[in-house]
Amino acid sequence: MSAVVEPRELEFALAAAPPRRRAHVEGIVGFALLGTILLAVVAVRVFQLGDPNAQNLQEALLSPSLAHPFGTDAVGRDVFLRTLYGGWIDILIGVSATAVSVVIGLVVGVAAAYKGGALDALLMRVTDAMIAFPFLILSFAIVTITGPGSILGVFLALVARGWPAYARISRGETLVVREHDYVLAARTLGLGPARILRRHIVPNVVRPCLVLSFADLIVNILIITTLSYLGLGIQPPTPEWGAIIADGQAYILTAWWISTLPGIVVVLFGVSISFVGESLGRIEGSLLGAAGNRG
Amino acid sequence: MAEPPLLAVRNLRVRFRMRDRMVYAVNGVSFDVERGHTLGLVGESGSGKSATLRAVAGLLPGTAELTGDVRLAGAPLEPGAILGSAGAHVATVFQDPATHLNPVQKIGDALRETLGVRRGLTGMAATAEAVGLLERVELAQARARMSCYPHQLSGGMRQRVMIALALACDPVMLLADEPTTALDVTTQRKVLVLLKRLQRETGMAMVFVSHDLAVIADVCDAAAVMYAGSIVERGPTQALLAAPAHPYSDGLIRSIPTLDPDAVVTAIGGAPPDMSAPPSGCPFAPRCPRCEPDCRVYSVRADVSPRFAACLHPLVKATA
Amino acid sequence: MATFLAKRAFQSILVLLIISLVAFALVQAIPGNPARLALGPRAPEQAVRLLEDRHHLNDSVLSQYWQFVSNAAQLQFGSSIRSQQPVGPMLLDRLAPTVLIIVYAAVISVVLAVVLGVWSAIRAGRPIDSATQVGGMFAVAMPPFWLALVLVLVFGVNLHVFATSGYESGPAGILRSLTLPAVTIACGLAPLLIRSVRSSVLENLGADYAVAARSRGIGRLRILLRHVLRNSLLSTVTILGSSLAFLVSGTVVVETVFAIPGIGSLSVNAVTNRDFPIVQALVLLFGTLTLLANLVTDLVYAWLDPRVRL
Repeated sequence: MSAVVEPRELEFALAAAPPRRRAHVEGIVGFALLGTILLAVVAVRVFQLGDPNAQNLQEALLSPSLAHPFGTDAVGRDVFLRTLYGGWIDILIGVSATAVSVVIGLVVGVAAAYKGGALDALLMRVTDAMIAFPFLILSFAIVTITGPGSILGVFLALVARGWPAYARISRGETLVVREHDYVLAARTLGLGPARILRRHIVPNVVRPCLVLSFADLIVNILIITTLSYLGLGIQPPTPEWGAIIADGQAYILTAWWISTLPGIVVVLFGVSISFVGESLGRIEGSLLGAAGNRG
Repeated sequence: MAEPPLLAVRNLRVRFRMRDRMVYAVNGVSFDVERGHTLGLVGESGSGKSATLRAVAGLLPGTAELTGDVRLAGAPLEPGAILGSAGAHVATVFQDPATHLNPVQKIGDALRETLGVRRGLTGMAATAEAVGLLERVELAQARARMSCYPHQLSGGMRQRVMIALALACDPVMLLADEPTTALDVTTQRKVLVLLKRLQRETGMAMVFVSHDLAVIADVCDAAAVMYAGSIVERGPTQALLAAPAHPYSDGLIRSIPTLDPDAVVTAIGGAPPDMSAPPSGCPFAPRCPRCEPDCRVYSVRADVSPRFAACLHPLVKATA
Repeated sequence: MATFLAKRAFQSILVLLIISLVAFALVQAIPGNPARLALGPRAPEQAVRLLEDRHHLNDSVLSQYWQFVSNAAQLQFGSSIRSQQPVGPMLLDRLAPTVLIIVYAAVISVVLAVVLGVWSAIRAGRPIDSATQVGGMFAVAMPPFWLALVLVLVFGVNLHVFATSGYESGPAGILRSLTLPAVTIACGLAPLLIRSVRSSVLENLGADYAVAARSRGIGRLRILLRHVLRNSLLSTVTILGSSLAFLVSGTVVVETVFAIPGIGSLSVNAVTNRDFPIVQALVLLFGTLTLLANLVTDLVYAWLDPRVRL
């Protein structure tokens, strides 16, 4: 009378089954890729593995080969070497600008949320306007003042664009955490605001900021390269990813490798950052999860 | 040969595939529901009562794996039968009406949509019927409420809307998953009265899940007490409450506070077992005041007799 | 509603004032003599003096600011240092191609977002989902000017399908000349929208109201289209609203690469030539547009979500 019914796969409409756990392929690939690029970029400078500006007109516009993996450009410089040398400045400016943006945004956001009132309202209007303002126009405004070619200008442009997003996140998180019962409990115990901020609010606020910072780093590096490409950032002959690609544009039909190959390195760098960021998030999540289950 | 029960569940097992373990939520549950009758499933959280209901309703999430036999009016139940427009009509009323109504859909549109799908009504006919349904569930100013959004209604009103939506399916059986738990006591009363009246009027059967014995006592003809994924006792509600056979049911009844200042309220010591590692023998053994050595080894095979207790040493003999 | 608009207007005026200060401060902050810098070191002293007078560079800061603001309010933005042409009409002339690219790119992004976002959500965890996510990571890491060059190489030169430079009007011309620029910009925006749609749809697919609707026998497709999508689009609208910034920045690059006479390419030239009246006007223009975009987004959101009261 009671036949056994096969276990059934239920339809998607009732919430799709969570994906099976697969190995953290992206994590491994991400770290490996990022590590390789960073290693290459640093090693080439530390060990002085060639001169990126060494011209050799005999060897101009050579297509990629074993001797020149990315070929040579119009004045015979090895494009691969230039790409490696150029990465340093992009990564350095990108990372430092991102870090500074996070710090500024955090401070402003938490302060605004904690103080509240008219200052908070005004700050929010300003950050909303800044976030929605086209970042390249903003960069132009700053570069107009500092003059094209100024690294400081590039740095300032990145920070000016970057901090508002972190301010908004920090403020939001602070508002939420501030109302949590454990914070209210701490306050009733008489704990001062500094201690509450430090132990309860800041740790919760930092996390989403860090999550954003990875994607933000990629955006910053793209802006640096774009400014250089447009002639407004780092000036030749300093090797830099955007500048190298710009150099090759005139030869796009005949010597396509000058512009396209360095760009692939930029893309790979960005992708590795994404993978690493995602993998770090997962690691942190599972660490927290394991700790939570033991409770 | 007597008419088969409206709902016949045999040996239902539900397990959930979690990220790092399996949770065995329902372990061999069997019961019958006759036409026009109300069966109550009562138990603590985690007893498997909601999972059982959702299994019957075909609403388990994708992480669930289930085996067992479920028949409605004699025919095996396939997900398509309930959830399609043909075949047996079963409707569900959920616990929290706030989250179970689409926040961007007017309730009139929700009703018309259901009427269109289940009864093929459109246009003026659908609207008229929708208003009629709202009036049947005693929603004041029914016609005006048709163009309201869920967040504009109170909790009790939203639950009435949910019941109206269920009625729109013309159900022969209503599955109610703690329909009054999210409501305040006064509204709870009104909704229960409404449900009983509707049941009388339509003659539909009902499976009523709750953790509140008082509610079960009020509404249900028969009750099944669930613990750790199994039915530990079943019987006509009054008989069960008057003379419980299973120590767990007994403990449950004794733990309800009454208005008598001299009555002693006792809690059941211990905690329910971890459902990812179901123990052998009787699941209640660790907490049972009447536990004997054989209780930890053997458990009673479930059957569908109207009066039943899954206990080797019941308090009273459980016979119909 | 009226109080909302009034409050908004008040706040916006404050922000606009701040923006005008920024635009004005541009010239004040330039080290050295802006007129001299604009004309170059070899220009005669007299020319420099003339330019200074024309732009009132020797007046007091306060009166300069007042000049600036009152002119701007009358939509007078001065003239380009380089070409002597009035800035206002210059911007207007070059508006069309830029707006077209922005709209085109937005449309591509939204279509991709809805299609791929919903598909990824329905098949979450399966290959198509992973492929879309990884593809998005690649797309977002591509420097727009590099992507533009690659597209030119592949589609313009080798396949001869699209134009690689210039702007042609009319429907066919737009398709021919603006598709590659629009696709370039969309590559950077679409992944964000896809991710937003995907996560919204996933959340809503498993939502209680979807389960409840299913329990009443409403079909899966209907639930997806009429219930889940409507709820999912709410958060995506917000993101789309704030993507105007990205779209505009994108036009700067693509107009330069594809030699399109729009506002984007104008901006680059203005900065390279230290043509600050143009840059000032651009800051004002985009500041205002940004505020408008924020307002419109908020209004649209309120219209879509009945729970929001303005």
